[in-house]
Amino acid sequence: MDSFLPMDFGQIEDPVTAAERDRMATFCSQTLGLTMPALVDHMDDATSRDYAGWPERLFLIGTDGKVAYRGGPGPFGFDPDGFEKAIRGHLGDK
Amino acid sequence: MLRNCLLCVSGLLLAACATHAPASQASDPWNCTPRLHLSKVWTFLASKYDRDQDGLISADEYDRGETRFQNFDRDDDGTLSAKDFPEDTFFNGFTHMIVEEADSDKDKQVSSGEWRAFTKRFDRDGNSIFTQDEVIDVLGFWGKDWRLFLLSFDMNQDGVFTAPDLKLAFRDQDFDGNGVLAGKEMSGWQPTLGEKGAAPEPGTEAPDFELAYAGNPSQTFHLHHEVKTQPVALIFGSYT
Repeated sequence: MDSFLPMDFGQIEDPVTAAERDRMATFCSQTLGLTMPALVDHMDDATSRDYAGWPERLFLIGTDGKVAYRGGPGPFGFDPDGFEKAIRGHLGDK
Repeated sequence: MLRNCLLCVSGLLLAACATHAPASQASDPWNCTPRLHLSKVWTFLASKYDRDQDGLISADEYDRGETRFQNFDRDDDGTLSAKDFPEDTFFNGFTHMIVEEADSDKDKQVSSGEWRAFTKRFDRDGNSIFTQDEVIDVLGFWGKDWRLFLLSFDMNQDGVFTAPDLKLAFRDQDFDGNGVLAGKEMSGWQPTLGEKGAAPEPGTEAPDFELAYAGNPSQTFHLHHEVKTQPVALIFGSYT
């Protein structure tokens, strides 16, 4: 899911096709130097809506397929430290 | 240990602030402003879509969908023009979030009176400067990261959060200048956030999905297949 306004004029405009969204996601990953895999939601934003993931949110899913951690809505509830703590706690139980 | 036992997946990263920074600055998410001058948006749109160069963008000229066109058409006159992007007005990607908080009677509108009452709630000690503690009293965890909060809501960029900042926020959001925020003035050109509390609860079944990898659309990731062998960390984000 994306904002409607064009950003970084000439490079980023709210995508209207899956191909555009994929190009933007690739640009995002490269620009931010991401090393983890990035996935691209469908144009109906189904996954983002299922998880109330917009604009940012963190989740940990356990091997039982259940939500082990749910972060707050970003950007103000975005808590990487709390996320790391939850991950370490979850893995420590294994 | 984390790397070996955990699969981290981002769904279009990252911090909203980075979305407003030029690419060369994006590695430092603090080196940016969440306020985007609307006249720059118009300059961009006019250069790209005003094919007959008459100073107007018609629905036929704009080929990126009715929803976006209607959101840009702030005065609802059926065309996009410089009037929809006033010179002294800014877009702030975060303002719509506190607008919801100011809607005390939950009628999906915010009057100037509601906004004044909302503003007063921040000034517990009456000194006209709203501190982090005062913000946390009103907005809870929103004020936890004070640097991020000031970056988002110190509209006049004087280093403190005060009533004039909230006055500017209301003015930027009040597209028709009638003193009431309603309709698209409430969402501020952002997608709707959905119902609060809709995120799956801890302990409940994670909604399944199968999504393509960025840059490799033919390869997909199926959550409930992958999660059988290792926990999965999901990082949701948006880049625009």
